[in-house]
Amino acid sequence: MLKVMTSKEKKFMAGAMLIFILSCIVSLFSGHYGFSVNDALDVFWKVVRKQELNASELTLWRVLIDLRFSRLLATCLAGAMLAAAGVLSQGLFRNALAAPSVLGVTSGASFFAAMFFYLGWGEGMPAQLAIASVFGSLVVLGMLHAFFKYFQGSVEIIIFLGIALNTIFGALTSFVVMFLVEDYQRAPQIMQWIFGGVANRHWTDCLWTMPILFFALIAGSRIALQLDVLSFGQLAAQSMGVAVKRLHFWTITWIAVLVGAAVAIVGGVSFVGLIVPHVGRMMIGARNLPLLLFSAVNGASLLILSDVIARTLRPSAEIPLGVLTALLGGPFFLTLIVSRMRGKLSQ
Amino acid sequence: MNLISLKLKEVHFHIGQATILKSVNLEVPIGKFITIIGPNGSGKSHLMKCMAGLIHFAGTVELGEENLMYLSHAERARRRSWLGQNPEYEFNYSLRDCVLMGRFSHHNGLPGKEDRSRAEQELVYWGIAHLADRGMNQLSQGERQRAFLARTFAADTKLILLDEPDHNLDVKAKLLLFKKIKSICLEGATVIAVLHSLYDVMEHSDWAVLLKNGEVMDAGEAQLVLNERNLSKLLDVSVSIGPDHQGQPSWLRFSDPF
Repeated sequence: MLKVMTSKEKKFMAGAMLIFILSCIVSLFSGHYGFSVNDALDVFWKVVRKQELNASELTLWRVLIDLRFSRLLATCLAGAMLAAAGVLSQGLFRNALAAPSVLGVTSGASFFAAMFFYLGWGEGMPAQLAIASVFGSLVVLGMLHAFFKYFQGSVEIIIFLGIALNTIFGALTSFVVMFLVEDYQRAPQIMQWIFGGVANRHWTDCLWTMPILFFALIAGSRIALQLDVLSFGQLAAQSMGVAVKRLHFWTITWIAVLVGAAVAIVGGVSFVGLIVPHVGRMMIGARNLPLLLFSAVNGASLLILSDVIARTLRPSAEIPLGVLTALLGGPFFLTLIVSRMRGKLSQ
Repeated sequence: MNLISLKLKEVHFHIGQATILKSVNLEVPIGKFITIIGPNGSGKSHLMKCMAGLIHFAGTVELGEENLMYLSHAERARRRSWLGQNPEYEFNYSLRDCVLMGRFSHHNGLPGKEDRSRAEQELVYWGIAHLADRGMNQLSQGERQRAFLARTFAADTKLILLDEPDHNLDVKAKLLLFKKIKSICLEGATVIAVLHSLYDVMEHSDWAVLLKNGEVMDAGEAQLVLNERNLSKLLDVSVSIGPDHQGQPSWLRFSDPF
């Protein structure tokens, strides 16, 4: 019998699914415009039975589907994609700190999306922006990989390189934004790229990422099994039958696709790929396949709940999603570095 | 049983300007325990990596009838296993998971019943079955080394390459190691190991390769090759070997020639 998950992992997975479902419910029913679950169900049945809706029911339906469900779908998909990308990139670089946002992959994607937007190529065409952001992630990952090879797979150096690349692409993005600030129509939209956010996203804008997430999880599962072996070193992995070069290539490709697609729908949301896999590893252990699935679910829940907080904490003006996750992730990152260095020093 | 022979023809290896291995030609006997000895920096570990097909080198390594470098990584892994010096690990995998990874080329990541029972056998053999659910971070260095050895032997290959396998091992584990090597050699597997302790080399190995400055100084039956003259020349110290009451070599004495 092949065992994908142990019973302990299955229990945690069930818990994560429960939290995910609760987060979805909370997200649908919290916000400015209040209505009860009963009202919503009534309207839902009417729509299913194709009955006429009155004005207030129509408003409720619009809020529920066009606003709440749109946000829910966008955050859910982006959260899952970012967390899955986090698992893959931590496994690839064999470092629990090597999340896409820490390494500058997210900011690379944001920069290229912003650049495209500035040049006027991506307006109203999410697919083009998505290609731009996937390209951006690939550029950063390609640079990281070249450095990683140059330094012969050194596990620690990658973080410093990532920080440098993050700074560079962050600055470049700000540079592009500077040119756009005076453009009153486009400035708010570009802000959304940088700080992250899901306002104005319609659920139909996000549907194209569903197959991406689906296929990434299937491909990721196969990759995850090989990343387990890779964690014992490149030569050891090769000696045990892993084609390391091919593994690097496919892992990088999928990280880029996942981060690019996520950035295309929620903008520069950082630290999901750092926190979620890390906490997941503490709960269910290091094996990458269960971790990938567990993190995808948890990433979705985390971003859904972050979005709930972002729009309910200050109802007059919502907090950008990326700012909120950075507030959460920054201190977490700091704690991780301190505990990692303490571990290294005491060895 | 398909036995695997190992032949090296004109193997060269450089790092930048530095020549690490110079025209190494070797034909290793089947079903024997072969040790590679030599001073620091003589190229022992790189020779092991070449034999395992883990680095690119000039020349050919033939495994049976096949050129090692023409085989895919998975095919290589089914024919030979390799344990490096100071094995790395990152993330806190359980010891059982670590040993199961040794069988990766058999199961591709999702271990079946047979893989699990082989891993379990090795865990028991190396005396670490009671630690199987612990993370790698919670083990001592010696226990970790036992786990890496269990992983290497669990692969069930006909050629096993071990780079300083006795590193961090206590006396008992060392005895287990040599017992294991002996038993799998009897089944027809070939084991090649880099060892530093000449006592172990003289006591356990059937065959020895003396490596100096990237060149094979001498290779052959251990009893013939491991003599005072060869060892003194190899290690740059004067070595005297004393016989025990049965006339077998039993003690070694080293002194600085200067």
